[in-house]
Order: sequence, then structure tokens, then C-alpha cells
Amino acid sequence: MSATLDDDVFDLAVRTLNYAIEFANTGGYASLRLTDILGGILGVALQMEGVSHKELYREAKERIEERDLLAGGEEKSKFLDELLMMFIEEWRK
Amino acid sequence: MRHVRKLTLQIENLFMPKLSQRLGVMSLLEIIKTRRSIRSFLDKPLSNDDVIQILDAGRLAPSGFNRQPWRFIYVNDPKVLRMVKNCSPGFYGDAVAAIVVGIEERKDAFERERSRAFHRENRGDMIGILDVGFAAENILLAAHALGLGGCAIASFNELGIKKVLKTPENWRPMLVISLGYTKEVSKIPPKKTLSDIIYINEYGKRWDALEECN
Repeated sequence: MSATLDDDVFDLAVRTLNYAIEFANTGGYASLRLTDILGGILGVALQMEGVSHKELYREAKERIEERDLLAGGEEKSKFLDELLMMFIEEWRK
Repeated sequence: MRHVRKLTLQIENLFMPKLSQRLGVMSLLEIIKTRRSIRSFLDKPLSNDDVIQILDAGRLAPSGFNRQPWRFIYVNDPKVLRMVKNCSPGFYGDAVAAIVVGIEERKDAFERERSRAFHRENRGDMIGILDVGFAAENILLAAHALGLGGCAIASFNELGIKKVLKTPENWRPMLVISLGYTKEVSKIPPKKTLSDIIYINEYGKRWDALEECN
């Protein structure tokens, strides 16, 4: 696994998460769908050989799968912000 | 027109002598007219001298009550820039740097009281936001004058940016400005004519002098 591809996977996950946050307080399902895509990206990343950050990806994926799909905007924002903090902590390591 | 040109040169000479020397034949009005939002950049590191001049142009922007509420964070570390970009859905193009413009609310009682005067019903520090806009425009114009380009980005995750840049609680990001040496200049989008947007003496009253400019 090249460092670039490893970074690309991480960046794609964080960017998708930020898109989900951007739409968290708007009507419609955009945030929900983007969070689904994020879960999918993390699932694929976990299957890739040699990819870093697997512990983070596993934990984030589990939290996405267990989330309350009917959560309101504020609760959804809080949940997504917590996920983002996990990614930023990992990036800082 | 000659008066405008003279005033332009006076302003440049007063505030940005180095910039003025670099401009050559490019006047401030030409810079304003040719500036574009740039999203295509050369893969070339920025010179500190250029960036400092650009930031100095931001520093010299007007601000209400001369509060100068802005604090600028220049991001040139690729690792940090990567994360700023990840947290900014509106950040397009491979800029080699960014300037994050934020408002810092002062903690001391006098400044807090003075700041309160600038807050309008539930709209936050409106004057501070305008100040940041002035500074951002100065930054973008100075960048263009020096052969750089950038784009003001308002679509970013505030919490993410704050966490990535390790900012204090009382600093709030308002704009992310991508920065780099210009590679491609985009086409000018359709602009409204002067008579579309300017009235004389009362709303809706057309100014004949504008007709010949359209």
C-alpha cells in the first residue's frame, strides 16, 4: 500500500464526513445518504490490505451502523462532529 | 479619470511600496478588473516575501472602530493544508497554501463592551464580518497583483477547522482563502451592467450617465 493511497482513503473518508456535516441541519436525506457512503468507504478500507487506521475505521463504521437513523438535525450534527473529532485525533498522531 | 489614476497610485505608494514597485504598468483598477477566483494552481512553493506582502495588504484593510478583529492563519504545511481542505467542501483545486481568516473576540471587559455595539439582533458581529470581507478582498487583490491567485471559500466545517488549527475558543473562522501561483484563469462569468445595479437619488431611478458605459 503506497502512502499516497493510504492518505487518499483517509482523505476521502474525512471529506465525505464533512459533506455529511454540511447537510446535517438541512431538510432532506443528503446527510443521511452521505453518512451511508462514509460507512461504505470505511467498509472497503477495512478490506484493503496494508491500509492504516483500521482501528479507527472499524470503530467509526460500527458507530455509523448503530446510529439513530431518525435523529434530528442537532443530534445528527453532534454524532457527526464526534466522528470528525475521532478522525482529527487520528490525523494528529 | 486622471484623478482616479492619481489617487490609485497614491494609495499604492502609501500602503504597499514594494507591491507598487512590482506592479509596473498594472494599476489598482486593472487589478480589480482582471482578478478572478482561481482554482488551478502551479505546483510551486510560495515565496515568503510574496505571502507577507499579501498578508500585509489584509492587515491594512479598514475596520469598524479600528477594532481589527481579524486574525490570519497562514497554512503552508502540506499535512495541515490537506486536513483544512478535507474540512472545507468548497475548497477546489490543488492550492499549495491557504489563509484562514477569523474573528477573534477580545476577552477584556472594555473590548467586549465595545464589540457588543457591533452586534445586530442575532446576526453576530456584523461589522466584524464586513471587516473580514474587506481584508479578504485586499488579500485577493494583492495576490493577483503579485501573480498569485486564490479563491474565498465560505463552505467549511467550523469545528473541524478550529480543531485542526488548534485555535482558542474565542477565535472563529470566517473564510478560507486558497492560495498559489496561478496556472489557469477561468472565464469571466456574466456580470450585471452598471445600470442593472445602480440607481440615482432614489431606488429604481435610472442614471442616464450609465447608459453609455453599458
